[in-house]
Amino acid sequence: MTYAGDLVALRAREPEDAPYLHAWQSDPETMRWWDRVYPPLPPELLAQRLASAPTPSYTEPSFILLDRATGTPIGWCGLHAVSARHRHAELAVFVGDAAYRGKGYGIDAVRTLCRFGFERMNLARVSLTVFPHNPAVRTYERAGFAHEGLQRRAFWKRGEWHDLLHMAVFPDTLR
Amino acid sequence: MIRGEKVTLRARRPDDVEHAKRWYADPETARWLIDVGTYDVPAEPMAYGDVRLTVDDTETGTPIGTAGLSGGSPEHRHAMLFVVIGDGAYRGRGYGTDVVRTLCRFAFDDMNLAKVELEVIAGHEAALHLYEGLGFHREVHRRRALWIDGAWRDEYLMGLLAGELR
Repeated sequence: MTYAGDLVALRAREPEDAPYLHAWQSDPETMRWWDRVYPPLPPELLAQRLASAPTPSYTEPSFILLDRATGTPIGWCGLHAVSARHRHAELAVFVGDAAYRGKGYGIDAVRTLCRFGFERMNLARVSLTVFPHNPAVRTYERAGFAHEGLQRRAFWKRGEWHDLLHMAVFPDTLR
Repeated sequence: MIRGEKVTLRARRPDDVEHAKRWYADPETARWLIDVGTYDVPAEPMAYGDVRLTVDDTETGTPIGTAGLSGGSPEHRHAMLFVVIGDGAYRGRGYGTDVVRTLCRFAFDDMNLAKVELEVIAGHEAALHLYEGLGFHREVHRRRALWIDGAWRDEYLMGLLAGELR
């Protein structure tokens, strides 16, 4: 199953993705803006987990991000904390392959995943949290996300407290 | 047991469930609950990430509601506070304030948390007034975040850092 945007396509995670995911999650530049605290599993154990990972579903819509033109895995994206009652989910995305950064793949991934949430899952709201000085804030703004506030001292990373910026987008504000 | 000025916070007991049924059947209580769950009586001892208590009126020993701290994160040293004064006779008389202040003191002084957070439905003016009076800040205004009684409602995420409690 794939779900395509202009530049990216989303598909289910597969065991063959393990070396990619492990490399991205071990890369300080990718993880600089990420909320991971502990090192990832080694690739062989990660592959075992991916073999039994559920396919994307309402409760766990988690995807590998592909370059649509070549089919190359370039990152990961997913929705979590999905609430059926409030028709809401939280979005997370990273472009792990540095060659694909700054070229519009990130915003296309954000738009495509939001569209998946709204068009397929019938969500009414998608929100996210981001470090306020992350350049991705501008990307989210361009996709139509509005600022909802600053959660103070919300995150401890590399020996410092960090605030988290909260943003949200709705079906009629996604651009 | 955690003592406030007017309330005592203690571990839940099986016989609290009957009180809880009465509290949650009261429309004025149910109206402002973000999530209506069952009144679980944990079989395991309380732990950092999951503090669920029953609130007694200290003077009479009557259970009047519930409160707790959920999702406590040791790395980020924060937790989410919840409180319900279920017995209507105890609302508007300072019991809620005493519960929240007592629980925040416990969070900072005993659990060594750096921050206490809570979520409140926009429009719940009595609760917003109570929390702001204790020093909580409205940090995040989530628009149309909750579907309650047939309408979309906004929600506030509020936060109190250690040292801000009044």
